[in-house]
Amino acid sequence: MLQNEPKAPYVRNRDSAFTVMMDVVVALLPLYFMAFYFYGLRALMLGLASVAAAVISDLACVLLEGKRPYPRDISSVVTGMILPLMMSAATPYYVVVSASVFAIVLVKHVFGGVGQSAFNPAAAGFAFAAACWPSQVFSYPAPFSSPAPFGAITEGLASGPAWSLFQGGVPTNDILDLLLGKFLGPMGLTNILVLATCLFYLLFRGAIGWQAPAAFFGIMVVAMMLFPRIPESGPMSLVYESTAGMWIFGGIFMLNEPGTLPKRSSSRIAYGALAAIFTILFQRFGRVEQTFAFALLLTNVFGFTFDRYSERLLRRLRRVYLATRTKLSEKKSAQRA
Amino acid sequence: MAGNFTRGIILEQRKEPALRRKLRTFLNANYAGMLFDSDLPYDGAALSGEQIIELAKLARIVDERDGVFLHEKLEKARQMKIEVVVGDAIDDEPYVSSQMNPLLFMQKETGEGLRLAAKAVGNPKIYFAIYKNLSDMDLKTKLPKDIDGVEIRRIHGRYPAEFRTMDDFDSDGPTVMIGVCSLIHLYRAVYEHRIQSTCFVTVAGGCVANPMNLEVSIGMTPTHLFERCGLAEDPGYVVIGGSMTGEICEDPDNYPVGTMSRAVLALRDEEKKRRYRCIGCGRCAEVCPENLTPFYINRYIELEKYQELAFYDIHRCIGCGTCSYICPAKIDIAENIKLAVAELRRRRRQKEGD
Amino acid sequence: MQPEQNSVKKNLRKELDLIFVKNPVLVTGLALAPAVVGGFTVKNGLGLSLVFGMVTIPVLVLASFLGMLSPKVPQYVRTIAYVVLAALMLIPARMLASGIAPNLFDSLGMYFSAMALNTVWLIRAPLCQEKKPQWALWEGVCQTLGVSVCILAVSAVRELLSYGTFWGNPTFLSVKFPAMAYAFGGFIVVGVTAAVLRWGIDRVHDIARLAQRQQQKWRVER
Repeated sequence: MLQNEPKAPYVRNRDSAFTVMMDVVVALLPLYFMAFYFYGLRALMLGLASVAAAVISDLACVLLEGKRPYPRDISSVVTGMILPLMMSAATPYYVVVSASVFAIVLVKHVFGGVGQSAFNPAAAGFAFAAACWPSQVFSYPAPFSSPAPFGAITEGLASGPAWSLFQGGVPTNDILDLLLGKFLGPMGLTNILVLATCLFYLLFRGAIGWQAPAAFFGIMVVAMMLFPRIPESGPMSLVYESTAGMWIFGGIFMLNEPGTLPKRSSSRIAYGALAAIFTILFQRFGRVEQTFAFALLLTNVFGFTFDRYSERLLRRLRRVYLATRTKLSEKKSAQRA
Repeated sequence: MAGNFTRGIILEQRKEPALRRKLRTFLNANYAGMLFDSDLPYDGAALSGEQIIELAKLARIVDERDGVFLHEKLEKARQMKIEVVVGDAIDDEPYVSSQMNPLLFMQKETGEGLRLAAKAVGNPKIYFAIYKNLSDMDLKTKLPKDIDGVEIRRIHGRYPAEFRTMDDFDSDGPTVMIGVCSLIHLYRAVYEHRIQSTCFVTVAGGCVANPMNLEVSIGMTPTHLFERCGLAEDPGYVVIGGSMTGEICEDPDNYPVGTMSRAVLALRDEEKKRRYRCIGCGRCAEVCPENLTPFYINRYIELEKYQELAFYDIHRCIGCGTCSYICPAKIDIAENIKLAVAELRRRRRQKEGD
Repeated sequence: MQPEQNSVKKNLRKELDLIFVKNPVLVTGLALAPAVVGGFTVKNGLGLSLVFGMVTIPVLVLASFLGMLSPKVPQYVRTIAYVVLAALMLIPARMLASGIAPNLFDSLGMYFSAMALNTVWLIRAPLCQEKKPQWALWEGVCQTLGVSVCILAVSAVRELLSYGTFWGNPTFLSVKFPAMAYAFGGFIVVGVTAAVLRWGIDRVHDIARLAQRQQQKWRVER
C-alpha cells in the first residue's frame, strides 16, 4: 500500500482551504480600497506591515514546532488583514505589528494552530492593542486629511461618533456622511454599504454560513431599535450605532471565523444570539467605546458548549426519527394485514 | 417521484457516454452459457413461487446490491410477507451506470425478471427505481415511462441516494429491493436454465478511451477490460467499485471482477497533494446525510480519544464519503472514520477477550 | 555513618530542586495571584518575596514542631495556629518592607496581605508536619528562593517593558508596553517565563543525558 495512495472518494469538490480563505481576502480588499480612498497610503502601509508581521511570526512558530511551512495556508494573512481595519489610520506601526504578533503567536499557535484556536486571533489582537494603547487606537484622523504614510502622527486626531455614543450623547454628523463612511472612525469599518456588499459576496460564495450572522444581526437590530442607548428614536439610533460601531464588520469577518464558530446550525444561531447579547451588554456597561472584539472573545468560550448541547439534541432527534419510522412502517403493515 | 433527498451533495454524474451506449458482452469463451440441470419447465407462467426460488438457488444468483444470494432474499421476503418488490437501478455515484444501462437496454428481461421475483414473494406491488438527478444536465438519456409495463419511480435529490431509498418505499408497506442485474439472471435461470456466470460492470474513467457498460464473465481482470475498451492514457490508479465508495485495485492484472464490482474505473491521479490541516469550517456537518458531525469525530480520531466517539454516534456512519468530498482541507474523513470503527471493534473484542 | 550522611546530602539536594525544576510558581502554579498582579516593578517584587519568606518559613517550621510535639492536636486547630502566625508575621514584614521603599505597602495594596495566606504553605504545611524542623526550615528557604527567583524575573521584565526603568532608574529602553503592568500582561509574562523555564530545563536534561551516555562510553572503553 503506497503511502500517498488516494483514498475514497475519488472525486472531490473543487474548493480547497486556500480558495475559502482567498474568498475572505478578496472580500477584505474593497475595505482596504475604501481606507486608501479616505486616508491615503498610510492605510495600505499599515495593512502591509500587519500582514508581514503575521506571516513572519506564523512562519517562525511553524518552524519552532518542527513542521514544514506550507505557503498555501494563508490564514495568517487573513488575520493580518483584519487587524488594522479595526484601528485608526493614525495608529503607530509598533501597535499594529505587536497586535499582529500577539494574535498569531499567543492566540493562534499557543492554542494549537490553524482551526484549533480557542479564541478569534484578530479579536484578541485588537483587544490587546485596545487595552495596551487605548489612546493610540481610538483617536482618529479626519477623512481626506492624508496622514503621513510613515512615522508617528501626533496632531489632527480626535474621537469619533463612537465616543459620543459611549458617553450617551448623540453624534453630530450628517446622516449622509454617516452612511457613506465620511466620519472619524476605524480605518476600514466606516462604510456600511461596502460591508453589506462584502457580506453578500461571502454568503453567495459559501464561505460563511448564514445562521450566525442572521441571528447576530437580527438581535442587534432589534435591540438597537427597541432599546436605544441614546435619546433618539429607534431607526435613528440604529443608523448611528451601526455606522459608528464595529459590530457590522465583526459580524461579517470575525464572528464567522471557521476555527471558533460552532459547526451545527442550531448552535450557530445560539452563538450569534449570545454574541449579540454580549455586545449590547458591553456597550451599556463597558469601559471602551468599540466593544465587539471583547464580546466576541467572551462568546468564543461558549462555542464548544453549544456544539455539545446541539449534539445531545441531535442524538435524541436521530433516535426519535428512527423510532417513528419503524413504528410507521409497522403500523402500515399491520393495517394492511 | 419516490424520494427527494435534501441532505447530501450534488454530484456531477459523468455517466455519459457509457450510459447511452448499447450494452455489450465480453465473455470468456470457456464459461459462456453454463447451464444447470433441472426438470422444471422453461416457462415462468407455469412455475410456482417456490419453484422460482429453487431455480434461483440452482443458478447461484447473487444480488449485486448487497451481495446476498437471491434465493435467500426471496425466501426471506416470502416469509416476511413483503408487499412491495422494487427493482433497484439506482446508480448515484459518478461514472457508474451498471444498473441503469442493462435496465434500459434489456427491458424485456428485467421486466419479466421482476414479475418472476414478485411471484416468488407472494403478490406484491412492483416498481423500478432509478436515480435521476434533475439538476444534472449531462444525462442525455431519456427515461421511458415504464419498463415492459412496470412503473418506474424516479429518485431525485442528492447523493447518497441508494442507501436511503428504502424509507420512501416503506410507506407502501414492507419493501425488498432487488438489483436489476440479478433480475436479468433470474429471467435467464427460468427461461434458459442458465447459471449466473457473468456480471455487469461499467468501464469508465478519465483514462478510458471508450467508456461503456459490459457484461463480462466473472473473473475477468481489469487489464482485460481496459484492453477491450481502450486506454487513452496510463491510469494513475484503478478503482473497483463506485467513485465515491470504491477501493483501489493494487493488482489490475490478477484481480477477478465479480458481481459486487459494479464498475472498473481508470482515473488520472489529479488530486494534488495538499497538506492542509482541518480549518474547522463545518461543511462536513452540513452535508452529512445521517446528520452526524464528522468534524468532531475526525478531531477526536486525530487526538486518539476513542472514548468520545460513541457520543458522536460514529456507528451510524454509512460510509458514503460525502464529508471527504466536501472538505476544503482535503482530509480523508471517511477513511479515518472507517479505520476508527475498526479500531473500536478491535478494542471491544480485546476487552471481551480478557 | 555513611548512609546517614548520604541521606543528609540527598535531602539537601532534593529541596534545591524547588528553585528551578519544581519552581512553585512557574511549574506548580501556586501563589500565582500575587506574582501576576502585584509584582510589576522590581521593588514590588522584592517586597513580595520578602513577605513570602517572612510568612512561609516560620509557618513551615511551626508545622514541623506541632507535628513533632503534639501529635494529638486535631488538624483544624493546627491550621488556625498557622493562619494566626502567618498574619502576625505580616507586622515585621511591613516594617522591613518600608526599609526597601517607603510606600511599598501602599503600592502593593491588597496583595501584600494576601501573601499571608499563600497557597504554598497551605499545601506544604500538612506535609511538613511529618518532617524534622531543620528540613522544614530548609524547605521553606528553598521555596522562598524559588518564588523570589520567579517574582524578581517577572517583575524585572514587566518593569522594563511597561515603564522602561529598573528599580526606579530609567534605562535605555523607551516605554513601549504599558499594559504589562496590568494583570493580563502579568499573566502573559508569567506564561512565557514558564515556557522558557520548561525549555531551559529540557535542554539541561538533554545535555545531562548526553554527558551520562558519554561517561558510560568512557567506562566501557576503560
